[in-house]
Amino acid sequence: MSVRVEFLGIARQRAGIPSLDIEAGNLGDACRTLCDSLPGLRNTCLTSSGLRPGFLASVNGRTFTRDPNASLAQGDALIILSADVGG
Amino acid sequence: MDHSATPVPGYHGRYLRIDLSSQSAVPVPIPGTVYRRFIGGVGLGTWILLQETGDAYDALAADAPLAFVFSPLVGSPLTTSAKFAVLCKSPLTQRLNDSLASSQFALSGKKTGYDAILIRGEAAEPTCLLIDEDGVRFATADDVWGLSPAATTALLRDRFGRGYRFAAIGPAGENQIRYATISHDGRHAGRGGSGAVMGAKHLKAIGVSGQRSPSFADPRQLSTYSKSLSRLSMGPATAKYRELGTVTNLLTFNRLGTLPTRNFQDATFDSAASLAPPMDDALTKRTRASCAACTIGCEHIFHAQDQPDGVRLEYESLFALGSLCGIEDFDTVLQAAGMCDEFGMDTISSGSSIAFGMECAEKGLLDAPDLRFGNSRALLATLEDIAFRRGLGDLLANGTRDAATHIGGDAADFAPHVKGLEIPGYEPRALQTMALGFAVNARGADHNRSGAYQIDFSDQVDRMHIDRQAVKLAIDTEDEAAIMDSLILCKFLRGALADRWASMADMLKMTTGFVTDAEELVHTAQRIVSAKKLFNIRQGWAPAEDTLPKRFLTSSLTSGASQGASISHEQLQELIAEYNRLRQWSPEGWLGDELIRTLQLLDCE
Repeated sequence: MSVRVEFLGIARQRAGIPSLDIEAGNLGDACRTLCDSLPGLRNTCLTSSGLRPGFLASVNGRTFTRDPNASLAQGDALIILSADVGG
Repeated sequence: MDHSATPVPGYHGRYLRIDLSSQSAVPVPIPGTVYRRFIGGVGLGTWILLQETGDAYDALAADAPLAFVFSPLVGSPLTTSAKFAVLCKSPLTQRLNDSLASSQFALSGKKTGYDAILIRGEAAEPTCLLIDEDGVRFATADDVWGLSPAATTALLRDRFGRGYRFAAIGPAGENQIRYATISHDGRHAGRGGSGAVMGAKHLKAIGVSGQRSPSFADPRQLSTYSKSLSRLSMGPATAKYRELGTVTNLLTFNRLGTLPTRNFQDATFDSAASLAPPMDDALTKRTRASCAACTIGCEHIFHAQDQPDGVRLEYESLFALGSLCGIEDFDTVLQAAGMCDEFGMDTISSGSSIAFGMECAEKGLLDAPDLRFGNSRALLATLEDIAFRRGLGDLLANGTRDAATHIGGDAADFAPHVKGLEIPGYEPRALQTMALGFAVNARGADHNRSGAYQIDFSDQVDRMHIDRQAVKLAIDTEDEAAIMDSLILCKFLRGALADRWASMADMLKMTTGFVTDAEELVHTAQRIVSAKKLFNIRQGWAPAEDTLPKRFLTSSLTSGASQGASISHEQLQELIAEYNRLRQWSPEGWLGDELIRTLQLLDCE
């Protein structure tokens, strides 16, 4: 599935770019691909199998997940952000 | 009562009651059993207010008490523990107000030899209190009346000595703006108008100095633990605060459709990108700073060309003075936040009051042709009018609830407050666990006493369609906040603590010697939350005030990621009923005699 990954906050800092289009069927796939494509994310925000503690993913900005098996559909926006949103 | 001669470790065993009218002061012993029941900070302050007050009273009356309360962790090497609480009846909400702040004032205040300083009465002329180990002095503050908190503090420290640390009000407090702050070291005890209570007492500033540090129960273990905690506090869990500051929430919330915009008419802002702080801007430099005794360093200070001293900016100020007022440029918000610092005004209530005024003006409910969303000039001018109670500013200076009553029409339907406290930057329709937290909290709409937004921003609930299962999770965040606010610790540490309840129990044991656990702390939290409710009941609380304004219960969001989100009056009431049930309160929210006994609150009735 083609999905657009958007990075917010620290994830954007580490990625060095605001977004990236990738192929991924679920969150775990996406993390693996992102770790290869954007090394700044590896072991800071992501591991090759999922999210690091303190980070969260949102599918299309509506629901949140940390489950590597969370499925992604064609055209989804996958948002990577800090889990702590206190302010 | 326990009048043990040996204070509990971490405490002094007494508070100081000062009467400005008679210029007298008397130490008041605190029974040792109170500390384990209420810990310190907000918990202890609530207990003190309940002892010092009776039936409903005017928040700005001469005899209304104002308490500065320290905690057992103050003075310890634990990171983020240099905090104090300010408690009073809020002139904005007419309910309990508990504000927290971090600064050297906490460290020096506790060293005066008291666990709290309670101020009653009204000085005949502008006054500065000086409290040290030799006693209390009442000095004139005639020549600093009218000055900003920062200028006041600088002048008073030159006059009385660098050993004193000051908390002061600005012109907003003097003019009894209902959301005036108490300021110190550039920080504010911000919400609910404790600065107006000081102003009503003609109390411009309080200076504290001392050397009396209480012993701690296990100083060696405390030192080791503190080093470990400091290391954790500088790790990845706090990177967001350290590297970007809370202002980074603006773009995140905008993307998620939870950014209050144009007085909560929308939850996305088209100009969010231009409102966000510049990352690499030759004209606006950014520096970082920390509160006293803090290793996180979340403060981001922006130095625009005409503001060389810089302005601290947080997300809450950025949303309230920015998107909520339809303001598109960052520099205007920076200038507005700097003005709030100078006047000593809460940025959330300031921005909310102006945004509400803008909507009223656009709808023809107010005759104010320039007061329009997006008008930077009107925003800045109205801030000054509020601080000095000029024209329309006088109306907005009492907050949105009061202003709506005077404006009439349907203004009350979209006045953005709960119990009179303006809603912070979390859109309730899109964050429905937070909506519940706002509705039931003793202080009103507040994101620090209920951290329910943490649940919405997680995989534990569907934030736009929550059910009864979310209520317990909301209560957990409120309980956690009650303990953190009583210890007192910064909530930005939350992510760094693997087991927060166990960590808090450990810290309490090392400082006070109390051997406690998560179960007891949850029970303590229930006691503190219920004690706050008892105070509000005395002051006239009624079940109908646990709600949200009509706008939030009758309209849905129309754009962005939260498009379609809505919550009805019936849904909210169902959640509130479940909240009351889990709190062991009556279905309407009253406390029964049995619960009061179980929670050991008989001395608080």
